[in-house]
Amino acid sequence: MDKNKPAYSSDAGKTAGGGAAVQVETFSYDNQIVRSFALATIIWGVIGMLVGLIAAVQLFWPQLNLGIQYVSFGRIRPLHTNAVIFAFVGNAIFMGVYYSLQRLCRTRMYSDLLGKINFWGWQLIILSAVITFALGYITSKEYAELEWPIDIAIAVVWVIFGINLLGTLLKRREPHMYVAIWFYIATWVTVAILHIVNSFEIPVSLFKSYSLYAGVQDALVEWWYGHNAVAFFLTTPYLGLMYYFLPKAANRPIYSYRLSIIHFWSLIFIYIWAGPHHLLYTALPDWAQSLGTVFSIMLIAPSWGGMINGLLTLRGAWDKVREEPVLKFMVVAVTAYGMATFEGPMLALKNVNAALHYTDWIIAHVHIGALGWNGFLTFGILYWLIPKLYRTELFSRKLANVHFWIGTLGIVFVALSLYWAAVTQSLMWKQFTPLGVLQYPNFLETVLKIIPMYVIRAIGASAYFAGVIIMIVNLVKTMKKGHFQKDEMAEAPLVMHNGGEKGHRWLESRPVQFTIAAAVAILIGGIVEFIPTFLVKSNIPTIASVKPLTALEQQGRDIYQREGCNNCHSQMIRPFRSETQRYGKYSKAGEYVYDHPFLWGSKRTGPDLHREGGKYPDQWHYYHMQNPSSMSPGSIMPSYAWLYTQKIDIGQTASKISALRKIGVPYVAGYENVANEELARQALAIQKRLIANGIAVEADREIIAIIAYLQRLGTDIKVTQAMK
Amino acid sequence: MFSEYLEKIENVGVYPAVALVIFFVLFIILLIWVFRMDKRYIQRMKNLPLDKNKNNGKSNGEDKKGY
Repeated sequence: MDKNKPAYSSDAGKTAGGGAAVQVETFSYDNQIVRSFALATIIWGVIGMLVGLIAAVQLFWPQLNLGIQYVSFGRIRPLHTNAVIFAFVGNAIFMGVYYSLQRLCRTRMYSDLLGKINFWGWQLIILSAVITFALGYITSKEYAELEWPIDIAIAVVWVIFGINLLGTLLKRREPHMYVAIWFYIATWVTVAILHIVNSFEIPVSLFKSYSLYAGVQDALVEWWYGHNAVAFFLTTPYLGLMYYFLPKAANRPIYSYRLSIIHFWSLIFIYIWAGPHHLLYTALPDWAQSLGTVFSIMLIAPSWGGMINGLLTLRGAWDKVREEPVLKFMVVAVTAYGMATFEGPMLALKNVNAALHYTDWIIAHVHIGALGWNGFLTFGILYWLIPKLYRTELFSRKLANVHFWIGTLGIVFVALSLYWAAVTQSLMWKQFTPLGVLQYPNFLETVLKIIPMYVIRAIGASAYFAGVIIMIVNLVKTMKKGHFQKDEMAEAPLVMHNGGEKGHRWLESRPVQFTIAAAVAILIGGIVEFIPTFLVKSNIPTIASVKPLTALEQQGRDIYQREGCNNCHSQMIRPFRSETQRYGKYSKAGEYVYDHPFLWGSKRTGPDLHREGGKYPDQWHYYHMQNPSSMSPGSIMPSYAWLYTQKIDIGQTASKISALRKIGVPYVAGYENVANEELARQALAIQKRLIANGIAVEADREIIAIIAYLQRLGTDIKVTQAMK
Repeated sequence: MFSEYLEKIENVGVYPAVALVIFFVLFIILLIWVFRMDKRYIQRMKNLPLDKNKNNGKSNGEDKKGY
């Protein structure tokens, strides 16, 4: 903290601009923390993208997991998404904030120590994510998959970052806060709220918990979180970075400061409402779905306001874009942002959503955002920042240009192949013959048709990845060429707070009040969206025949979660003829009341499983899980051989039942004491049926539990029909 | 849980409409604010990342070209 103390320079009191005497302080900017985050961004970026590439290849070559459970698709897909979002983008956010905040406030960060805790804490969280996901410790809520101890660690580190952020703002030497800082503040407040509300869960053991919410309610909270994680982790902090680094790289001010004020407030206000568009045509109440759609369409305006502000900053300077790779990256990034924020609202229209939800279009959409907007803006900033930190020029502009072109081509190949795959598959899913039956009743047929597109996607991903490797070579050479400057000396006049300011100008000079205003703006939407969540209980018609899972089925469900089955299989049949003919009766909200967490899924790489129960005999599942292509020739599902050797973890049965009862699942009193006996009885019955079909299997194996769960899925409602 | 508290609110469907009105009113106020802002102040804020007004806490005369 010593470095933070104002050291009055020998020329203190010199005149500025020939006017009155101004006391000038000298101090230093902390570049060390910026470099640490920059290196972490690069390293985790490589890991996150490599895992993504492996997952992409597994989609047409499932044997790539080499039979190892820790790297099967269901486990590495969440690892890929989390590594890219929280490790790559997360570290890049910290890198950009720690660099720009110091300069915009003309002060060193509030505390070097808090910065270090922020850095190492974040890296430890990421490392624990890598380990726990591989081991299958997972909550199954998209982008919030980490188990409860790590959730707590995230909250702690985030608060530390917040203290450092606010502390820096309070000791700043610049009277007003530049627009980039508003986005940083909104990011901090909103991510904190989202993370805490979505992470309420009841622990069973150190690495197992159940979501406090169930079914429809859980889905609403999760997609309120999931959608706004995109908004406030992948968008607002990056807009802040755009508002700082784009003018820096172009050496000209942002196009319109007025537009940035309007952009900021409307964006953060509207974004928070749009979450339910992830749940169109599901069992969510209709009015909540419509709310999501309306606000998604409204979002185009502020999003494009931001894009226009970024692009018009370069007007009159497009000649620079032709020569400067940093600007090339940034222009494509901002354009990708514009594309993704138009595509998002279009996908939120119910008729478009009906056709494209559950398809690869969604995967293409997120990759326009992740590869284009987040990736390219990060690369642009790195190419600009690393030479600055090392007081030298970039090693090779030529290599940077190669990276730019190979990366851009990579994005085009990834996106176009997935768009093509999505439209093809969606049309096949919905195609009827003139006789009124499904033309492609076998789901697998629609998958096999798009395998070539998956291959092209992997080629595009490889190109993008190759670009990143080229960047690393270029940046390492740059670092070797220059000299890293740990503390950068600077001077600034003492802060002068202007009195008597009004309106936004007043707000821009008061960080605490600004933070409160931003929190209020997002809370309005948040609260209104939560009213349906809280009310959902009264909106769900209860179904008398829907009963809690048995102990064995619950164990099976936990295995289903562990293996990440929900990454490829939905459990939500929408009320369309094409879906009810293929899968059975459409899903009702009342069927999910005991689902902690909900497992609706968001992508159908395989068929929906909500009515899987009773569809096939036990032995079909037995052979299918062992070697999927034995039952479904050409299947891209990996083998789950380990389920045949691993034993069901019955040690936790009682605590699982007790935990579920605490959060509202009506197990009868004392069930936890007899749960394991009942579990054994049900397992024996399944074993008997399998033996009768010539399969020798122990009753205590995990495969028995997962068969029990799959055979139960969606059958409760059939009981009602039978009773009728 | 807390769900019971909010279940009792009557006419809860009016909340989205109220929020929409709040948003539009705030949006209009914001527009008025923004367009009545001091031009010199805006110039200074715009140039903040560019260090063009490094030695002066207030706006200086160098960046009046205007964009």
